[in-house]
Amino acid sequence: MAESSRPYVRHLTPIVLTPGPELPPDEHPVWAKLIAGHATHEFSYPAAGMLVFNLNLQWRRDPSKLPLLIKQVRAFFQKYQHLLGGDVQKLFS
Amino acid sequence: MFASIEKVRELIVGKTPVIVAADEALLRSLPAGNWIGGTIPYFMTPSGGQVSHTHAFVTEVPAFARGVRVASYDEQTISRIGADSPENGYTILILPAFSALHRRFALEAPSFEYLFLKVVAGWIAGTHLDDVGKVAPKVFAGPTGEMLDAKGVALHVDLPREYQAKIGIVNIFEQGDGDEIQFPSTGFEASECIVGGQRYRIGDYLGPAKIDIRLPLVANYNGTKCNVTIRTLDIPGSKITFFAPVFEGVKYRHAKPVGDYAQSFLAAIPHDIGEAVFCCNCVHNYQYGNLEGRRTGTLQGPMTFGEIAYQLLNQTLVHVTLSTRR
Repeated sequence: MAESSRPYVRHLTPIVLTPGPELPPDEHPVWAKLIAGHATHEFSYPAAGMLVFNLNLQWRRDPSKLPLLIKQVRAFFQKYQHLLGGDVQKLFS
Repeated sequence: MFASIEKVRELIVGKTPVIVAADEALLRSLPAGNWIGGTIPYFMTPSGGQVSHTHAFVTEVPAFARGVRVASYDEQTISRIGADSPENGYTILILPAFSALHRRFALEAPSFEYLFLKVVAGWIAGTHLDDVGKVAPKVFAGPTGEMLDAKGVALHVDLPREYQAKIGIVNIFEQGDGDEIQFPSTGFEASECIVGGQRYRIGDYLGPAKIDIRLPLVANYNGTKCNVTIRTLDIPGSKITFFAPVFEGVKYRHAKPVGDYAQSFLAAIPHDIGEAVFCCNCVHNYQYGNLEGRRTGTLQGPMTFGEIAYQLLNQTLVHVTLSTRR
Protein backbone atom coordinates (compact mmCIF):
# COMPACT_ATOMS: atom_id res chain seq x y z
CA MET A 1 0.00 0.00 0.00
CA ALA A 2 1.18 3.54 -0.68
CA GLU A 3 2.59 5.61 2.14
CA SER A 4 -0.03 7.75 3.85
CA SER A 5 0.97 11.37 4.29
CA ARG A 6 -0.65 11.30 7.75
CA PRO A 7 1.45 9.49 10.34
CA TYR A 8 -1.53 8.44 12.46
CA VAL A 9 0.70 6.11 14.44
CA ARG A 10 2.20 8.89 16.54
CA HIS A 11 -1.22 9.83 17.88
CA LEU A 12 -2.41 6.39 18.88
CA THR A 13 -3.56 5.76 22.41
CA PRO A 14 -2.45 2.47 23.93
CA ILE A 15 -4.95 -0.17 25.00
CA VAL A 16 -4.14 -1.54 28.42
CA LEU A 17 -4.46 -5.26 27.92
CA THR A 18 -4.94 -6.39 31.49
CA PRO A 19 -6.65 -9.74 31.16
CA GLY A 20 -10.04 -9.41 32.83
CA PRO A 21 -11.80 -12.13 34.75
CA GLU A 22 -13.64 -14.77 32.74
CA LEU A 23 -17.09 -13.52 31.73
CA PRO A 24 -20.02 -15.32 33.36
CA PRO A 25 -21.56 -18.04 31.14
CA ASP A 26 -24.65 -17.52 28.97
CA GLU A 27 -26.78 -19.03 31.75
CA HIS A 28 -25.92 -16.28 34.26
CA PRO A 29 -29.24 -14.49 35.01
CA VAL A 30 -27.78 -11.00 34.53
CA TRP A 31 -27.45 -11.52 30.74
CA ALA A 32 -31.18 -12.26 30.47
CA LYS A 33 -32.05 -9.35 32.78
CA LEU A 34 -29.92 -7.04 30.65
CA ILE A 35 -31.65 -8.09 27.42
CA ALA A 36 -35.11 -7.91 28.99
CA GLY A 37 -34.41 -4.43 30.35
CA HIS A 38 -34.71 -5.58 33.96
CA ALA A 39 -31.13 -4.64 34.79
CA THR A 40 -30.87 -0.95 34.01
CA HIS A 41 -27.35 0.20 33.40
CA GLU A 42 -25.76 3.17 31.64
CA PHE A 43 -22.72 1.91 29.75
CA SER A 44 -19.43 3.76 29.54
CA TYR A 45 -18.88 2.63 25.92
CA PRO A 46 -21.56 3.98 23.51
CA ALA A 47 -21.68 0.85 21.34
CA ALA A 48 -22.54 -1.27 24.38
CA GLY A 49 -25.51 0.92 25.28
CA MET A 50 -26.77 0.89 21.70
CA LEU A 51 -26.36 -2.87 21.33
CA VAL A 52 -28.13 -3.76 24.58
CA PHE A 53 -30.93 -1.32 23.81
CA ASN A 54 -31.42 -2.78 20.32
CA LEU A 55 -31.32 -6.34 21.64
CA ASN A 56 -34.04 -5.37 24.11
CA LEU A 57 -36.22 -4.12 21.22
CA GLN A 58 -35.63 -7.41 19.37
CA TRP A 59 -36.46 -9.41 22.52
CA ARG A 60 -39.72 -7.47 22.96
CA ARG A 61 -40.72 -8.42 19.40
CA ASP A 62 -39.79 -12.08 19.88
CA PRO A 63 -38.94 -13.29 23.42
CA SER A 64 -38.07 -16.77 22.10
CA LYS A 65 -34.89 -15.25 20.63
CA LEU A 66 -33.44 -14.70 24.11
CA PRO A 67 -30.69 -17.38 23.96
CA LEU A 68 -29.49 -16.02 20.61
CA LEU A 69 -29.52 -12.43 21.89
CA ILE A 70 -27.55 -13.45 24.99
CA LYS A 71 -24.90 -15.03 22.74
CA GLN A 72 -24.64 -11.74 20.84
CA VAL A 73 -24.24 -9.54 23.91
CA ARG A 74 -21.75 -11.93 25.50
CA ALA A 75 -19.67 -12.08 22.30
CA PHE A 76 -19.61 -8.26 22.29
CA PHE A 77 -18.51 -8.13 25.94
CA GLN A 78 -15.81 -10.70 25.14
CA LYS A 79 -14.42 -8.64 22.27
CA TYR A 80 -14.48 -5.32 24.11
CA GLN A 81 -13.64 -6.59 27.59
CA HIS A 82 -10.83 -4.02 27.92
CA LEU A 83 -13.38 -1.19 27.49
CA LEU A 84 -16.13 -2.72 29.61
CA GLY A 85 -14.25 -3.80 32.73
CA GLY A 86 -16.06 -1.27 34.95
CA ASP A 87 -19.45 -2.17 33.50
CA VAL A 88 -18.86 -5.91 33.99
CA GLN A 89 -17.88 -5.29 37.58
CA LYS A 90 -21.02 -3.24 38.29
CA LEU A 91 -23.36 -5.61 36.49
CA PHE A 92 -22.11 -8.92 37.87
CA SER A 93 -20.91 -8.13 41.37
CA MET B 1 -7.83 17.06 5.41
CA PHE B 2 -9.61 19.82 3.56
CA ALA B 3 -7.83 19.90 0.20
CA SER B 4 -7.91 20.94 -3.40
CA ILE B 5 -9.17 18.34 -5.88
CA GLU B 6 -5.63 18.26 -7.36
CA LYS B 7 -4.31 17.07 -4.00
CA VAL B 8 -7.02 14.38 -3.85
CA ARG B 9 -6.12 13.27 -7.38
CA GLU B 10 -2.45 13.11 -6.38
CA LEU B 11 -3.26 10.84 -3.44
CA ILE B 12 -5.40 8.51 -5.59
CA VAL B 13 -2.79 8.33 -8.36
CA GLY B 14 -0.17 7.65 -5.65
CA LYS B 15 -2.32 4.65 -4.60
CA THR B 16 -3.28 5.98 -1.16
CA PRO B 17 -6.72 4.64 -0.25
CA VAL B 18 -9.00 7.58 0.59
CA ILE B 19 -12.54 8.59 1.49
CA VAL B 20 -13.64 11.75 -0.31
CA ALA B 21 -16.48 14.14 0.41
CA ALA B 22 -17.06 16.80 -2.25
CA ASP B 23 -19.36 18.36 -4.76
CA GLU B 24 -20.57 15.96 -7.49
CA ALA B 25 -18.61 17.62 -10.30
CA LEU B 26 -15.37 17.27 -8.36
CA LEU B 27 -15.98 13.61 -7.54
CA ARG B 28 -16.77 12.88 -11.19
CA SER B 29 -13.40 14.30 -12.18
CA LEU B 30 -11.39 11.87 -10.02
CA PRO B 31 -9.46 8.97 -11.56
CA ALA B 32 -10.18 5.31 -10.80
CA GLY B 33 -8.46 4.02 -7.68
CA ASN B 34 -8.88 2.75 -4.17
CA TRP B 35 -11.37 5.31 -2.97
CA ILE B 36 -14.98 5.89 -2.12
CA GLY B 37 -16.81 9.19 -2.16
CA GLY B 38 -20.07 10.90 -1.44
CA THR B 39 -21.58 14.22 -2.43
CA ILE B 40 -21.76 17.03 0.12
CA PRO B 41 -20.62 20.67 -0.04
CA TYR B 42 -20.55 21.36 3.74
CA PHE B 43 -17.38 20.89 5.76
CA MET B 44 -15.81 21.51 9.13
CA THR B 45 -12.27 22.61 8.27
CA PRO B 46 -9.30 23.84 10.35
CA SER B 47 -10.51 27.40 9.74
CA GLY B 48 -14.12 26.64 10.61
CA GLY B 49 -17.31 25.52 8.94
CA GLN B 50 -17.64 26.27 5.23
CA VAL B 51 -19.55 25.50 2.07
CA SER B 52 -17.28 24.67 -0.83
CA HIS B 53 -17.83 23.57 -4.41
CA THR B 54 -14.11 23.72 -5.19
CA HIS B 55 -12.50 21.76 -2.35
CA ALA B 56 -12.93 18.29 -0.90
CA PHE B 57 -12.53 16.67 2.47
CA VAL B 58 -10.22 13.72 2.01
CA THR B 59 -9.54 11.14 4.69
CA GLU B 60 -6.57 8.85 4.20
CA VAL B 61 -6.39 5.27 5.35
CA PRO B 62 -3.34 4.82 7.61
CA ALA B 63 -0.32 3.39 5.83
CA PHE B 64 -0.05 0.54 8.31
CA ALA B 65 -3.44 -0.91 7.26
CA ARG B 66 -3.06 -4.49 6.00
CA GLY B 67 -5.39 -3.85 3.12
CA VAL B 68 -8.56 -2.18 1.93
CA ARG B 69 -11.53 -3.36 -0.08
CA VAL B 70 -14.23 -1.28 -1.75
CA ALA B 71 -17.69 -2.84 -1.96
CA SER B 72 -21.07 -1.57 -3.07
CA TYR B 73 -24.36 -2.49 -1.42
CA ASP B 74 -27.98 -2.43 -2.48
CA GLU B 75 -31.21 -3.02 -0.56
CA GLN B 76 -30.75 -6.78 -0.78
CA THR B 77 -27.10 -6.91 0.28
CA ILE B 78 -26.81 -4.11 2.86
CA SER B 79 -27.65 -6.54 5.67
CA ARG B 80 -24.21 -8.14 5.04
CA ILE B 81 -22.32 -4.97 6.00
CA GLY B 82 -21.47 -6.25 9.48
CA ALA B 83 -20.46 -9.69 8.24
CA ASP B 84 -18.29 -8.15 5.49
CA SER B 85 -16.55 -5.69 7.83
CA PRO B 86 -13.08 -6.99 8.80
CA GLU B 87 -12.65 -8.89 12.05
CA ASN B 88 -10.05 -6.34 13.13
CA GLY B 89 -10.36 -2.99 11.38
CA TYR B 90 -13.12 -0.65 10.43
CA THR B 91 -15.62 0.06 7.68
CA ILE B 92 -16.67 3.45 6.35
CA LEU B 93 -20.07 3.30 4.69
CA ILE B 94 -21.62 6.07 2.56
CA LEU B 95 -25.28 5.94 1.52
CA PRO B 96 -27.19 8.37 -0.72
CA ALA B 97 -29.79 10.39 1.21
CA PHE B 98 -33.50 9.81 0.54
CA SER B 99 -32.84 6.53 -1.33
CA ALA B 100 -34.70 3.31 -0.55
CA LEU B 101 -31.36 1.95 0.67
CA HIS B 102 -31.01 4.84 3.15
CA ARG B 103 -34.48 4.00 4.41
CA ARG B 104 -33.81 0.27 4.72
CA PHE B 105 -30.52 0.85 6.54
CA ALA B 106 -32.13 3.35 8.92
CA LEU B 107 -34.95 0.97 9.80
CA GLU B 108 -33.13 -2.33 9.94
CA ALA B 109 -29.43 -1.80 10.66
CA PRO B 110 -29.87 -2.28 14.43
CA SER B 111 -30.67 -5.93 13.79
CA PHE B 112 -28.05 -6.63 11.08
CA GLU B 113 -25.87 -9.59 11.97
CA TYR B 114 -22.40 -8.89 13.46
CA LEU B 115 -22.89 -5.11 13.12
CA PHE B 116 -22.02 -4.27 16.72
CA LEU B 117 -19.16 -6.77 16.78
CA LYS B 118 -17.44 -4.79 14.03
CA VAL B 119 -16.64 -1.10 13.61
CA VAL B 120 -19.04 0.32 11.04
CA ALA B 121 -19.20 4.11 10.74
CA GLY B 122 -19.98 6.47 7.89
CA TRP B 123 -22.35 9.08 6.61
CA ILE B 124 -25.27 9.94 4.39
CA ALA B 125 -24.38 11.79 1.20
CA GLY B 126 -26.41 14.91 0.47
CA THR B 127 -26.52 18.08 -1.55
CA HIS B 128 -26.54 21.81 -0.94
CA LEU B 129 -29.64 22.44 1.19
CA ASP B 130 -31.06 24.64 -1.61
CA ASP B 131 -30.89 21.63 -3.96
CA VAL B 132 -32.80 19.14 -1.79
CA GLY B 133 -35.47 17.55 -3.96
CA LYS B 134 -33.86 18.89 -7.15
CA VAL B 135 -30.53 17.05 -7.24
CA ALA B 136 -30.08 13.44 -6.11
CA PRO B 137 -27.23 12.80 -3.66
CA LYS B 138 -24.63 10.40 -5.08
CA VAL B 139 -21.94 8.03 -3.89
CA PHE B 140 -18.88 6.91 -5.86
CA ALA B 141 -17.03 3.59 -6.07
CA GLY B 142 -13.46 4.57 -6.97
CA PRO B 143 -12.18 1.27 -8.42
CA THR B 144 -14.83 1.25 -11.15
CA GLY B 145 -15.52 4.99 -11.27
CA GLU B 146 -19.24 4.24 -10.83
CA MET B 147 -21.52 7.05 -9.66
CA LEU B 148 -24.53 5.66 -7.78
CA ASP B 149 -27.72 7.18 -6.42
CA ALA B 150 -29.47 4.00 -5.31
CA LYS B 151 -26.54 1.99 -3.94
CA GLY B 152 -24.13 2.55 -1.09
CA VAL B 153 -20.36 2.17 -1.01
CA ALA B 154 -18.10 0.93 1.74
CA LEU B 155 -14.38 0.95 2.33
CA HIS B 156 -13.41 -2.01 4.49
CA VAL B 157 -10.05 -1.38 6.20
CA ASP B 158 -8.23 -4.39 7.60
CA LEU B 159 -5.81 -3.50 10.42
CA PRO B 160 -2.86 -5.45 11.81
CA ARG B 161 -3.61 -7.23 15.09
CA GLU B 162 -1.78 -4.65 17.19
CA TYR B 163 -4.28 -1.92 16.33
CA GLN B 164 -7.91 -1.61 17.30
CA ALA B 165 -10.49 0.81 15.91
CA LYS B 166 -13.18 2.34 18.06
CA ILE B 167 -16.22 4.51 17.28
CA GLY B 168 -16.88 7.64 19.32
CA ILE B 169 -20.08 9.66 19.38
CA VAL B 170 -20.24 13.32 20.41
CA ASN B 171 -23.77 14.47 21.07
CA ILE B 172 -24.23 18.00 22.38
CA PHE B 173 -27.93 17.45 23.05
CA GLU B 174 -29.47 16.34 26.33
CA GLN B 175 -32.98 15.13 26.93
CA GLY B 176 -35.16 18.02 28.09
CA ASP B 177 -37.51 18.01 31.05
CA GLY B 178 -40.66 17.63 28.95
CA ASP B 179 -42.90 14.60 28.54
CA GLU B 180 -41.67 11.21 27.42
CA ILE B 181 -43.01 10.71 23.91
CA GLN B 182 -43.49 7.36 22.20
CA PHE B 183 -44.73 6.52 18.73
CA PRO B 184 -47.22 3.77 17.88
CA SER B 185 -45.13 2.47 14.99
CA THR B 186 -41.59 2.58 13.62
CA GLY B 187 -40.99 4.94 10.73
CA PHE B 188 -39.87 8.28 9.32
CA GLU B 189 -43.23 9.91 10.00
CA ALA B 190 -46.03 9.83 12.51
CA SER B 191 -49.54 11.22 12.83
CA GLU B 192 -50.00 10.10 16.43
CA CYS B 193 -47.88 9.89 19.56
CA ILE B 194 -48.26 8.29 22.98
CA VAL B 195 -47.67 10.39 26.09
CA GLY B 196 -48.33 9.12 29.60
CA GLY B 197 -49.98 6.03 28.12
CA GLN B 198 -52.49 8.14 26.21
CA ARG B 199 -52.65 8.40 22.41
CA TYR B 200 -52.76 11.91 20.89
CA ARG B 201 -52.95 13.29 17.37
CA ILE B 202 -49.60 14.96 16.67
CA GLY B 203 -51.32 18.26 15.93
CA ASP B 204 -53.26 18.18 19.19
CA TYR B 205 -50.24 17.31 21.31
CA LEU B 206 -47.49 19.35 19.65
CA GLY B 207 -49.60 22.28 18.47
CA PRO B 208 -50.03 23.99 21.84
CA ALA B 209 -46.46 23.13 22.87
CA LYS B 210 -44.96 25.27 20.04
CA ILE B 211 -41.78 23.20 20.01
CA ASP B 212 -38.57 24.34 18.35
CA ILE B 213 -38.14 21.79 15.54
CA ARG B 214 -34.44 22.61 15.24
CA LEU B 215 -33.96 20.60 18.42
CA PRO B 216 -34.03 16.81 17.99
CA LEU B 217 -35.92 14.15 19.85
CA VAL B 218 -33.42 12.35 22.10
CA ALA B 219 -33.63 8.73 23.26
CA ASN B 220 -31.42 7.22 25.94
CA TYR B 221 -29.97 3.92 24.70
CA ASN B 222 -28.60 2.67 28.03
CA GLY B 223 -26.37 5.71 28.46
CA THR B 224 -25.90 6.59 24.78
CA LYS B 225 -28.02 9.50 23.62
CA CYS B 226 -29.46 8.95 20.12
CA ASN B 227 -31.10 11.85 18.28
CA VAL B 228 -33.82 11.97 15.68
CA THR B 229 -34.01 15.25 13.75
CA ILE B 230 -37.45 16.65 13.01
CA ARG B 231 -37.81 17.31 9.28
CA THR B 232 -41.27 18.85 9.13
CA LEU B 233 -44.12 19.46 11.53
CA ASP B 234 -47.57 20.03 10.07
CA ILE B 235 -49.88 20.95 12.93
CA PRO B 236 -53.17 21.31 10.95
CA GLY B 237 -52.39 18.09 9.02
CA SER B 238 -51.27 16.40 12.25
CA LYS B 239 -48.11 14.97 10.74
CA ILE B 240 -44.48 14.98 11.82
CA THR B 241 -41.63 13.70 9.63
CA PHE B 242 -38.06 12.85 10.62
CA PHE B 243 -34.59 12.52 9.08
CA ALA B 244 -34.13 9.15 10.86
CA PRO B 245 -36.82 6.74 12.01
CA VAL B 246 -38.47 6.79 15.38
CA PHE B 247 -38.81 3.27 16.77
CA GLU B 248 -41.91 1.78 18.34
CA GLY B 249 -41.41 1.24 22.05
CA VAL B 250 -38.59 3.80 22.39
CA LYS B 251 -39.10 6.73 24.75
CA TYR B 252 -38.02 10.12 23.38
CA ARG B 253 -37.82 13.56 24.92
CA HIS B 254 -37.45 16.82 23.06
CA ALA B 255 -33.90 18.14 23.55
CA LYS B 256 -32.93 20.98 25.85
CA PRO B 257 -31.94 24.12 23.93
CA VAL B 258 -28.24 24.51 23.10
CA GLY B 259 -26.84 28.02 23.46
CA ASP B 260 -23.68 27.99 21.39
CA TYR B 261 -23.12 24.92 19.20
CA ALA B 262 -19.42 25.60 18.53
CA GLN B 263 -18.65 26.04 22.24
CA SER B 264 -20.71 22.98 23.09
CA PHE B 265 -18.72 20.82 20.64
CA LEU B 266 -15.43 22.22 21.94
CA ALA B 267 -16.48 21.26 25.46
CA ALA B 268 -17.89 17.84 24.50
CA ILE B 269 -15.08 16.49 22.32
CA PRO B 270 -12.75 14.42 24.49
CA HIS B 271 -9.18 15.73 24.51
CA ASP B 272 -7.43 12.38 24.84
CA ILE B 273 -8.70 10.51 21.78
CA GLY B 274 -5.78 11.22 19.45
CA GLU B 275 -6.21 11.76 15.76
CA ALA B 276 -9.33 10.40 14.14
CA VAL B 277 -9.11 8.16 11.05
CA PHE B 278 -12.64 9.25 10.26
CA CYS B 279 -15.00 12.00 11.37
CA CYS B 280 -18.26 13.53 10.23
CA ASN B 281 -20.80 15.88 11.75
CA CYS B 282 -24.38 16.76 10.87
CA VAL B 283 -25.43 19.44 8.40
CA HIS B 284 -28.20 20.42 10.81
CA ASN B 285 -25.63 21.29 13.43
CA TYR B 286 -23.96 23.41 10.73
CA GLN B 287 -27.25 25.03 9.76
CA TYR B 288 -28.97 25.44 13.12
CA GLY B 289 -25.76 26.18 15.03
CA ASN B 290 -24.57 28.80 12.51
CA LEU B 291 -21.21 27.04 12.26
CA GLU B 292 -20.12 28.80 9.07
CA GLY B 293 -16.70 30.27 9.87
CA ARG B 294 -16.73 28.80 13.37
CA ARG B 295 -14.46 26.03 14.67
CA THR B 296 -15.57 23.05 16.70
CA GLY B 297 -12.18 21.62 17.67
CA THR B 298 -9.72 19.19 16.17
CA LEU B 299 -12.27 16.72 14.79
CA GLN B 300 -13.01 17.81 11.23
CA GLY B 301 -14.78 16.33 8.24
CA PRO B 302 -17.89 16.59 6.09
CA MET B 303 -21.15 17.93 7.57
CA THR B 304 -23.61 15.33 6.35
CA PHE B 305 -27.26 14.35 5.93
CA GLY B 306 -26.95 11.71 8.64
CA GLU B 307 -24.18 9.98 10.53
CA ILE B 308 -23.56 6.26 10.82
CA ALA B 309 -22.24 4.81 14.05
CA TYR B 310 -23.43 1.21 13.60
CA GLN B 311 -26.90 2.61 12.91
CA LEU B 312 -28.18 5.90 11.53
CA LEU B 313 -27.86 8.90 13.85
CA ASN B 314 -28.83 12.56 13.50
CA GLN B 315 -27.33 15.84 14.74
CA THR B 316 -24.29 14.02 16.08
CA LEU B 317 -20.53 14.01 15.53
CA VAL B 318 -19.15 10.52 14.82
CA HIS B 319 -15.46 9.64 14.81
CA VAL B 320 -13.28 6.57 14.53
CA THR B 321 -9.98 6.46 16.39
CA LEU B 322 -7.32 3.80 16.71
CA SER B 323 -5.58 2.35 19.71
CA THR B 324 -2.51 0.15 19.92
CA ARG B 325 -2.36 -3.14 21.80
CA ARG B 326 0.86 -3.46 23.74
